[in-house]
Amino acid sequence: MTRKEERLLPEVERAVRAPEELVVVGKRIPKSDALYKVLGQAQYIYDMQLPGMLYGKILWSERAHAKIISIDTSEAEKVPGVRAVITAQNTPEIRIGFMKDQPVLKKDKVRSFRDEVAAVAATSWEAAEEAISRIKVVYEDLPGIFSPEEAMEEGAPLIHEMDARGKELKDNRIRLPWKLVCGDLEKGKAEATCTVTTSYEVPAVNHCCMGTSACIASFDAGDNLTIYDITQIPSLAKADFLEALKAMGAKGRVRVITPTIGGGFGSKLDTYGYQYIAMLLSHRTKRPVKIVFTREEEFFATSPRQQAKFTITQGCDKEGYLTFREVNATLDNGAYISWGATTPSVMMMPMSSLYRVPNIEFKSTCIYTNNTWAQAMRGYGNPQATFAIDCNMDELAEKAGIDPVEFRRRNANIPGEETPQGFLPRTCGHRECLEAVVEKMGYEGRQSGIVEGTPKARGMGVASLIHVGGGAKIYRSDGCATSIKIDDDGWVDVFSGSQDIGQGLDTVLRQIVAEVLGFKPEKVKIHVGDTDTCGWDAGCHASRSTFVAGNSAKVCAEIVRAQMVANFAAQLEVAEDAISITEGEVLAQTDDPDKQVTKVERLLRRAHMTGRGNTMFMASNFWEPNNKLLAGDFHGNFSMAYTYGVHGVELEVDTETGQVDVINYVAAHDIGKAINPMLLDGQAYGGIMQGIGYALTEEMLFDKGKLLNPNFRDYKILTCLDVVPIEAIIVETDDPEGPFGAKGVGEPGLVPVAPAIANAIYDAVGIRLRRLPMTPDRVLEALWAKAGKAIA
Amino acid sequence: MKTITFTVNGNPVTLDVSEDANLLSVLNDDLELAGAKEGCGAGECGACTVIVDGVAVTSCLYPACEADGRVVETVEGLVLESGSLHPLQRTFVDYGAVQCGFCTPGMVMSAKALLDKYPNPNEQEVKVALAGNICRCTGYTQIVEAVLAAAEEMKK
Amino acid sequence: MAAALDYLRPASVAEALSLLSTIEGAQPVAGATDVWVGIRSKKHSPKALVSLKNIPNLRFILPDRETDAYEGRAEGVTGDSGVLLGAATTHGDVEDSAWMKTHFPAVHQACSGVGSRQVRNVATVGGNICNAAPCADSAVGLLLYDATLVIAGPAGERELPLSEFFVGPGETRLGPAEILKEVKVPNPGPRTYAWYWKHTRRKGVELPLLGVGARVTLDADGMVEKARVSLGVCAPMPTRSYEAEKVLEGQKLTAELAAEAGEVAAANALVRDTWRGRGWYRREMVRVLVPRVIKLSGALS
Ligand code: FES
Ligand code: FES
Repeated sequence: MTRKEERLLPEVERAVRAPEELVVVGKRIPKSDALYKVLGQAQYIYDMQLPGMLYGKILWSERAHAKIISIDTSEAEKVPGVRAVITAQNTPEIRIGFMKDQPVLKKDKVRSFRDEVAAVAATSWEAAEEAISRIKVVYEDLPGIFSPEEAMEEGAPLIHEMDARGKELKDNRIRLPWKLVCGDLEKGKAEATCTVTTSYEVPAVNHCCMGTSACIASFDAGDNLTIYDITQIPSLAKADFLEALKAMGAKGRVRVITPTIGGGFGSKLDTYGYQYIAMLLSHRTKRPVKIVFTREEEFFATSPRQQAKFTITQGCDKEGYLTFREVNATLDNGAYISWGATTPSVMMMPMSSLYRVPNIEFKSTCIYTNNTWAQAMRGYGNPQATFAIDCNMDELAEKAGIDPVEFRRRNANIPGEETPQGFLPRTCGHRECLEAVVEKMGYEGRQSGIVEGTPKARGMGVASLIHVGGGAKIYRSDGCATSIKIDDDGWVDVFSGSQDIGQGLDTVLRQIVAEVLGFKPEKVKIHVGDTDTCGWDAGCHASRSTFVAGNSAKVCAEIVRAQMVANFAAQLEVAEDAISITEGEVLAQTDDPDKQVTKVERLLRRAHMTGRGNTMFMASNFWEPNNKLLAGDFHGNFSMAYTYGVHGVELEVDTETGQVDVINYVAAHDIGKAINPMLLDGQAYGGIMQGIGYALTEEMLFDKGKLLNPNFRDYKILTCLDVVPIEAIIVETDDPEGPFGAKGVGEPGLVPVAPAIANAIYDAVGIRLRRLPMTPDRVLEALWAKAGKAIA
Repeated sequence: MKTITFTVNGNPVTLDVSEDANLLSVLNDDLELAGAKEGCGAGECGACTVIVDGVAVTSCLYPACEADGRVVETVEGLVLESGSLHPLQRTFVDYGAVQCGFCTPGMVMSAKALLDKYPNPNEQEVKVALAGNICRCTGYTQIVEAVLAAAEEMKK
Repeated sequence: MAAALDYLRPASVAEALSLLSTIEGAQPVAGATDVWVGIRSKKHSPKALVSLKNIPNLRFILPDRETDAYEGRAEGVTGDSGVLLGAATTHGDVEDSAWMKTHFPAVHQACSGVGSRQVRNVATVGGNICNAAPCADSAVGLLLYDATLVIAGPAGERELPLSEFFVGPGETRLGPAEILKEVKVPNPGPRTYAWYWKHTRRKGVELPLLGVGARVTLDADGMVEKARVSLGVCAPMPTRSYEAEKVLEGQKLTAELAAEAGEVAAANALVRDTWRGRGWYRREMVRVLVPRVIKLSGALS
């Protein structure tokens, strides 16, 4: 029987398809824009040239902490080709960051090496650079503070003397009340028969997007701003920019357009000073102004994942069930406030809800220092927190005399159980993931320790993750707008407020819409990243896009589909439920053989161009997930679904050199439903490799606030030769709320990598690395310490 | 300024370049071939990889003057004469080897230089050839698969 | 603005030498990879670059093959008498040479580990030596074989052992108007075993945390006739560990002897604490890796 004959069988009841009948969803479909990318035709900002465009450069602070005494720009202005030189003195003040603690151009003092002191627009990069080098700034040094400990000392110099409202500040602590209490900590302690307290430390790491930060700001004659940008949050960025326009006295509107983005990973979740500087320069010169960071700038002047320290105590009872978890975290916020200061809100998620633990107290202090200021990075606070939790889990398991895997089995999360913080995971494949990993790795029969006749020791370790997979209500709205129009030629345009930063949202949406409409995916084009044509969205973060933008697109497509079905039924003179559309063909349950199969284009055209309807099919929809803003005590179900996973690693430690070689990696993720397994694999592989970097090689090294390694030579991002064999297992739990059952998966791949590796190192050689990255010298140092050998 | 003549994707070009210009900027700005990308400007990321006289080079470190008289291939010239994609381009698409795509043109050119010289590489040889091309998105696994698959296909 | 840079492409060694002696602040380059980074970041502003890339007869591995057209040098250079490398031979040329892999495995290994394939395709062995970075892989490899440099200057050619070439980081005995023309590597003789190991944090595209080379030539009775131990990043320049060599020479090679050589090399290594690596760790790695490299050379079996 051919497929067509199959379709002609009388039981045409395809309106509601069983999952196995999905035609497009669940398939390995290439990323929509991959073709243009392999041809070298995808357009990034770097490739864009606007008529009359100028080039902008920024003068960064040459001090970590100093008063600005004077800025002399006279020599810079004389450089041929220079069109504008701006400082805080000759521009309106624009304050940025969610607590508005930083002016874009610094006026009285600088608080870090990445403070913007002045900027230039010129007709060439060379002229702009030359002008920058001729600006003379006189500073008066202030004592710098480069660690939270120094910053908290009594009488430590103040980095900010007052807050944005002009209220005087007494110390360097950031006034954000990060404290979560669940259950009864004292009771939990009393119930514990075994407790372990340990401390962990994680470094600042950079996103290392291959495309550096860049924008082009351009004002038209009506004072309207068009900014070509790489933001992950077009709608929110637009709101920020509009506010800045007001400060500049520009009355027009803002349009944010994002061409192809060269990687995101959280780095573009907030707006940065350079974007406003481009705006100021453009407004001043009435010409488009382009700013592109060099790799060095990208390293030192964008906001990394922050340095943090954790002290964690967990306790379990005789049977090995967790009774409490108590954690204190200290975060080096850096000089100004961006989302880095809010990562504790996400740390709370694993703190409260990774493994079943009834009594919890988590406190976090976030402190101003003169270091670079931190932002969001893939996983937000989750990887940092999970490193502390899941290493401590192993330490506790050992003390309790329970195998680490067995210990996790006992404490694994289960579906349907409200977690102490009030999360309601309707689906949860934590246990399935654990068993899948353990089996695949051959964990039970493993041989740990020295491999005979070599200086190498082998070990295995596991770690788990929970992450939001169904949106995350951080703003009052966590929704996403979608509009769909279908032209009578059969091409479908979908305008989504969300964003593609390379992860493949464009393709996921295409599959969802094609599936619902019954069109071929090639016929569906996804438009994102233009605030003039796409509706509002909370941005590409928190692994929310598949879930929220996916649901939004799905509902919107269902509306359009209903319009089509009603019309087609009338055209074909059959009942609506006798119509189904699949792969671009309309199937009607009718005895008239001429009407049984019709190309959808034909019916679309007839609907539009004949008197019978004269209609087009289009719809808009704003989809708001039913999640809750966290209450004042940080309790509440702030995501509609939660993603779980377990990673297992097998590795070798060279006991003479301290080198760690991952030889096998297994990662199981419960992602609800794989809309596109190929893209999903890509998210897992990419996340895991970033995670291995976080665990073993990556670290931003500072000397009194100055970044020592702002390049790929000294900042050790992993290469193709470092690839480890990764088995990515997909566990499908079919979430009732997710589009076709899917949950978000953008971030999870990175989350539990470091603790899994640390646990495997312990399994191999019996040493605990409590500080990332676990470099060969640190591993060797720990081995020596264990052997009672002192280092010279 | 120096006048240089070289071949780009089979077409001879002559133009004036500044002595301190690198090949990348000449390709990007003067010839409007935007495929090769600047990811670091220091020979450390491979995003700017093109092929000169048959070998992969980082065009950000390649003095433009030195291109005089040579044969340069960029990603824009990969499409076969028939108009169809080069096998590498097709497998990169089909194997999910492309995410943000910033590394892709350079990655493809490194792979092409390898396959032109060694049509039958093993996995390790592919990794060695691509080690200078950093990709932050994909974790490389699908890229290596794509190159091996393209090699298979090219043998047919 | 910075003074304009000139880029010159002489067609012969003589022309290159005359440019170098007439233009003050002119610098010879071949692959130009290192110099270019310096120019771009404005850390370095030579007045002119004199490219050696278009000079015939500077890029070859004799007797393996003539990478460029080569005339006039073939006589007297055969497999029996070692190898002659043109200074403009790229690391990639060496990497691709199965002959080098067989006859000079440590040099092959060292050259194959420099930078990325793209960089190896243009960066030259001569450039790596003349840059005199403490970590210059190929120099560490070549030191094992008592390589000699052929240097051309206004007064003609002179020869200098590689081991005497380095003065300090980035400093060599190359005169301002001289160029390195060839690297002569004598035949190390039968029963020679050598290897180079680059110790790094990640596996691809790394500067070494430490580079270790070792070579032993055994006599007919299996005693060490000649030993060489060379180190990168252990001093301001690539060096030999003469002390470790002394431990090995004249002895019967055993695992214990190799370990002792490691101890002695470590004790004498001029390692420093830098933010890139801690001194104690580097020293310990010398101790561990010297015997390992001797083992990897195959001399122990
Ligand atoms: S831009 Fe050339 S290697 Fe990075
Ligand atoms: S796909 Fe983004 S860097 Fe490779």
